[in-house]
Amino acid sequence: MAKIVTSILFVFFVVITENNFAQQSNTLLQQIDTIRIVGYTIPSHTSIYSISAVQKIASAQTDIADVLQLSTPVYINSYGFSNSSSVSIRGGNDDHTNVYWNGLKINSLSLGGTDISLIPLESGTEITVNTNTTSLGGDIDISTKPNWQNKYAIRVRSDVGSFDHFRNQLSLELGNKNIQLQTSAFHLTAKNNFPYSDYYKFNNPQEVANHNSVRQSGVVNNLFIKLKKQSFISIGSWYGMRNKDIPAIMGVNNESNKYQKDRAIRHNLNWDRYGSMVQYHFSIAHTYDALNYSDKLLPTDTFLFINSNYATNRIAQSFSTTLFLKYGISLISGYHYQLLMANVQEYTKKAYDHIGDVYSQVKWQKGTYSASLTVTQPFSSYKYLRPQIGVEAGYTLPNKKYSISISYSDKYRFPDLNDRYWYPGGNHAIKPEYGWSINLGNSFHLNEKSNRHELTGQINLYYSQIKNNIVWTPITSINWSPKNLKKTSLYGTELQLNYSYTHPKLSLNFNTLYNFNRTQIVSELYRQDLVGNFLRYKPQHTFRASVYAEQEFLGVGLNYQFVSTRYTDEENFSFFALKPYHLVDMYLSFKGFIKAHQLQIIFKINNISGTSYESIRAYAQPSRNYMISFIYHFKK
Amino acid sequence: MKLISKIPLFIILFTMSCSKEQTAIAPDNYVESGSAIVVNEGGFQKNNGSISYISRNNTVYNNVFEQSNNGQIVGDILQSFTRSGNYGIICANNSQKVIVLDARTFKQVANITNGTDYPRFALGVAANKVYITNGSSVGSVLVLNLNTFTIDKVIAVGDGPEEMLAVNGKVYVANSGGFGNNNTVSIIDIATDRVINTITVGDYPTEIEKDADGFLWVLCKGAIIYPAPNYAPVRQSAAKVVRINPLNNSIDKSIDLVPANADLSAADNLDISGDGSRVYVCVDDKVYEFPITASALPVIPIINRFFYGLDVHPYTNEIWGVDPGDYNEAGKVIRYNSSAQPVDSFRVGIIPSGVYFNF
Repeated sequence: MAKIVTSILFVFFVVITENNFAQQSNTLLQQIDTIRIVGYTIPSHTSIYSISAVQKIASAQTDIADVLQLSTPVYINSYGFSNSSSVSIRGGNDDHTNVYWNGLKINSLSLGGTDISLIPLESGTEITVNTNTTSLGGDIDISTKPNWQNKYAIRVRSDVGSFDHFRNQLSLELGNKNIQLQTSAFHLTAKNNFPYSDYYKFNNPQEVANHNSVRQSGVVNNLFIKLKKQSFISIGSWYGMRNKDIPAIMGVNNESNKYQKDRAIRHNLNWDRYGSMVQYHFSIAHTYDALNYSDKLLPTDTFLFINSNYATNRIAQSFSTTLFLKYGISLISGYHYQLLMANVQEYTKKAYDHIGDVYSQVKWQKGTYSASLTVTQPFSSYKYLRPQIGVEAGYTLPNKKYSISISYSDKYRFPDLNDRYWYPGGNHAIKPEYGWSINLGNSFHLNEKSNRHELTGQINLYYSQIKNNIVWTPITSINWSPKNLKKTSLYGTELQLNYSYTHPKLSLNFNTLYNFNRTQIVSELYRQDLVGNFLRYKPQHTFRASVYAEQEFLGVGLNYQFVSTRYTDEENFSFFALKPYHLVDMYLSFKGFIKAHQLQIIFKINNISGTSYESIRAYAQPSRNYMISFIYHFKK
Repeated sequence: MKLISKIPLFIILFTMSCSKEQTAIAPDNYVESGSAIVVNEGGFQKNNGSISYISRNNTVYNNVFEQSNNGQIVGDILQSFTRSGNYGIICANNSQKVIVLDARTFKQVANITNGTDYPRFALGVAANKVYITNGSSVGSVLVLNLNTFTIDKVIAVGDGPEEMLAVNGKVYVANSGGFGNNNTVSIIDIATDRVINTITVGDYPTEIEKDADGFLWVLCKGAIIYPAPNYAPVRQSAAKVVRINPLNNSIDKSIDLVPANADLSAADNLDISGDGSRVYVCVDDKVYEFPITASALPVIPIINRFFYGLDVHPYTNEIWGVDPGDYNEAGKVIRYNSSAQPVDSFRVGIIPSGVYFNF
């Protein structure tokens, strides 16, 4: 109760210090800063669209994973609310998906993937999901853009939810047309002691998720400075921490004693110069990630049965130039360099690696036709890879209502540090994974003359192959090592349809996204009988839909998600497969304005139908739960 | 626009294809003489342990518990299966439960969770009375009453008790130490359910078998520690088999398997032929066989291969080795004849660990 009162006071303390409430009749969405999901497949030929306040309101309670899951073809595997979540695109693995923050890669150096639950929603204002890159799955770019018109803005948010969930957030923006400062901080605590039906136990008894609490905080700062001659400097920093209990799996009678601490620090400095004929970009950055995982045999033990520590550092530096030549030709050249350093208990010594790439891209655009050719030469301190090729061609109808593009790209991934340095078993001779992908993209944009009705959509078809898949496998009875074992194919389609109706007193948004994906084994070194089987945790069908209607003071929205069967092993044993599920969330939003002050209250019901479902086998997920959010926003 | 109108048809054609599903038809019963039951322990924390059934005509049926129990999942890390009368007993150690089932139909009869925090092996010791070793550190033997399906007694033994063997009204319990180390065998009087003696053997005893002369062979794996900072295994003491004379509970023979300084070698999977004349044991990813009169491990193995579990058929002396594969996908059982020549193999469940023979 004390925390509820604190949360409410947290909002209203700021509210009552601001005076002169009065109603304001501006379009409500203008008052809410937006997250934009930018063309996720082929940047030059898919429409840029904004999910703005709709999805942000619906998912700001938690993390960026919810926003991605609702609005892009990204698939999330989660151990539960605020617990570790991996992210994958088009049937790739989590370590096939690169995640960038302001251009800085933030994937784990030791594991390769990204725990996306550690990324706060405040870490960026734009999200781009792009599969037409050299990464095997795709890229997720989270970036922050300055608003040079902004003078002063404050945003305070407090969420109170079921299972002792409390989250407080404060964001400030300050600046003028030459300098902008954005800072945001949040703190979250939750017990997560939700009830669930344990169908791994006989007679499926009702249980409560114990040892499942989480405490998470973070601060994100961005400073943008406009220099003379169209030059800009941006400086970013990000600190995040999370302490969490790891729950026991379903079917087990005793409570877990596992515990995990995560710490993350990121810094970056970017310099950009935009000339009419030439552009430059320079960046230098640093990341630090630390993790401690511990386990005890008994809750009362002081001795830690497992006490494992990871600490990794990355120094990244990049430079690029863009030359605008005649005949619609532009030339982009540059390099990325990363120094990777790890201090991990299970490595016998501190590990250092150098990786990066040098690239050059020629783009051509004339009228409604366009094409590009990219050559990337990856480098590392331990393996050579041949130059990687990417080509793309596109055509757009003169009325811009339809565009089509086709692309091919080589793809690769260097092994992560665990693959190379883990003792015992690390394999210094392990080869990089590599493959290729082709993509056919279609997008359309239809609207009537009044622009009240707008229909946009995308249909993408893709086929990829990945070779030298890295799998840890036993080499003796007690010694494991990674090997290049598999070849996999990934193919599917993404269908997106968005409709919006805009009226001065009412707006309506309806968004749908269907994914079909098949990720299958093409060859396996030791198990040819697995050829044709599906990889684990890859649903063949996902469907997401959201509808949001709002007028001046009231909004109502509904989110729907369907995920089909997922095998949890590559034998495709049906008894161990996770069942398909449907989830429906609903929310109501009430708003009021007094001049530049906005107050909003959102009431949200998650998982209305109380569906029992699993994202990771044997980890319980919450049933129906509730959240109320108080948001105060002031902008000048 | 004509192009757009054709796209949905293309998508439908592109996405049409069949999904792959496992199918299996359950046999009439699971006690057919000459058949085998394979315990697949499954991945840790994955709840995908399972039981496979291999019929006398060599047909493999996987997930037989789930098929007989409306899809109910059997558990996480299945340690063992044994039979006691008409009942089958499964110890699921990470699920902390013991399942009693009808051995013929495999339908669950009871689910015991009271006191079963780390169940390992079960042994029928009298009509409707089963001993179950339990505990990763402080060890006990649970006395299960098959009339009431309750734990009637708890007998304190050494830490980390593993396999048991009944001889002359007594049960010998190997106390491995569990997550630590122990070097004893407890002897329980079945009539009184009391520990009447404790014998010191080698470090980390896990398995007990009886030979043709009535002597008991105990596999002692030796102490292996995992020191910080990188927790790589380091062997502290030798692995060996010791022989106990049950008449006076003394050790009359000891054969070293792995010396104390061989830190990446392991000894596992002790068994004895059906006639009790020959001993089988896995050492350093090889299978050795020697007569009970031997005083040292032979130089040449009979099979040059790692097995996660190994069982010798009591009638045919066939050697059934279980290969866990990559510990993520289905493993297999490889059958060798009594001359250690491979005969055939069966794909079973995830991480097979042992075979129970119906006879």
